[in-house]
Amino acid sequence: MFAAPIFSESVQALYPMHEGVGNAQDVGIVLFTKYLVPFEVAALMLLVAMIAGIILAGKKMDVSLTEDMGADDEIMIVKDEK
Amino acid sequence: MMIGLSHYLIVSAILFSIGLVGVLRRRNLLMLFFATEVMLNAVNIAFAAISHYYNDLTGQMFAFFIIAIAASEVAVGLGILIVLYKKHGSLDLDDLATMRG
Repeated sequence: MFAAPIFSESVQALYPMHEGVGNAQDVGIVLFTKYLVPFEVAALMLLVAMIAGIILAGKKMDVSLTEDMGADDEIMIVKDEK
Repeated sequence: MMIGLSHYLIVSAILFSIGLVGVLRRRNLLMLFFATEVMLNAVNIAFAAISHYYNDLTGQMFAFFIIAIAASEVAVGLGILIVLYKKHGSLDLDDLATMRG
């Protein structure tokens, strides 16, 4: 891949940039026309990844990672006495 | 000095080497994730530079999708990392060798 721009001079631009138009405009037009289906698939993938992350990170959220279980019990006992 | 394509490719290669060394040498699982991110972004730099060199938008589109894939990978990976830390209390790779591989 790194040697490709040095050796291949006959590569044709598949989606050429336009002079005078901003790069963001070109990117947006190509993204929402030619790459619309991969864009939607990427959106679905991000949704699935978000749900998976929440499920993985949300397991046993009531157990504290930093405090040990003894301190947790003491707090509970104090609360009960009140 | 005019900054051309080769400079971007050199930066990309250096970043990729740093990431590769990080993946091979690090012992902490979180640092391993950071190293993979460095490698992915090095490839992104190469894609964007070559795309600009050819006046072709395909490389930039590919870089966008690589960014999306990296985001979802980090989301799932950090979730797995949290579960591992809750299970073992450590993220060191030598402590996590439960399969004795």
